[in-house]
Amino acid sequence: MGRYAAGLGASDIWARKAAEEALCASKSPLTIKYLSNLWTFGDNNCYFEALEEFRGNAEAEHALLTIARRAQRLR
Amino acid sequence: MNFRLRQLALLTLLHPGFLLAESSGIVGTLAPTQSSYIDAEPVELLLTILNNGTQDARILADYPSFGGRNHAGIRISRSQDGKSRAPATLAPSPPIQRIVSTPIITVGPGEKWSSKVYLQSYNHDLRVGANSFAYQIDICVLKAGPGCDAVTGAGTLQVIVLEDGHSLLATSWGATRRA
Repeated sequence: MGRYAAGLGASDIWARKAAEEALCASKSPLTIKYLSNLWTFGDNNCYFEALEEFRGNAEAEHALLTIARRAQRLR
Repeated sequence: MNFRLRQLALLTLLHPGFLLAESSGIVGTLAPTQSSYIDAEPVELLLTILNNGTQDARILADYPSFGGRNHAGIRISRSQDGKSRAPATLAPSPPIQRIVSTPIITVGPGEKWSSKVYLQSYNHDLRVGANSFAYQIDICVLKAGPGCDAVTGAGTLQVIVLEDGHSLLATSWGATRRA
């Protein structure tokens, strides 16, 4: 998982897209902390559905709220 | 109309890109990057596109679906008893995003291009144990005029999913203690 998280900062756009997709594809709650930061990169918008998969998980719900608040601040 | 000709006509009707694909000489393959994966781990696959043609291929790369312009992109379905169900198509990005950001990759004659994709993006039906999937690749290759040629490919994927690390450790530790 750490390898994919490191890939989020890759300069190659395909490596970055793949890292984002990997974190979205995983069903492990270990990815939640990374998913909450994905939206800032903007190459892939899979994070929202991925976080939804963890419905009922406080960390995932907090991450979704954080994303919503950040988006609101940008308006 | 003889049988062979009828077969060709039917194939062309069912898969409009069939004749073009045959002539484009651009082939796609998918292969797992590991022999096994741990449960909940992303199942990493390597998509490789090989240009066997004589000209540059400009490929529409709407990651991760690789679909668009009436081409289905990557489709993966579970195989059962050697047969595969019609694979579901992963929806391409919404039109507005596609217009703005769909990259086009250029692959020269004799060259190949690779990218990592993940099985769970195309099929959620992954179980602990041995899994067998069938894949189909149909990606638009932009032409000078309207329409597309196609990157095509089809094959099978064998994926072994192991139980989570904690369970595996507990099982092997228990077996060692019993021995």
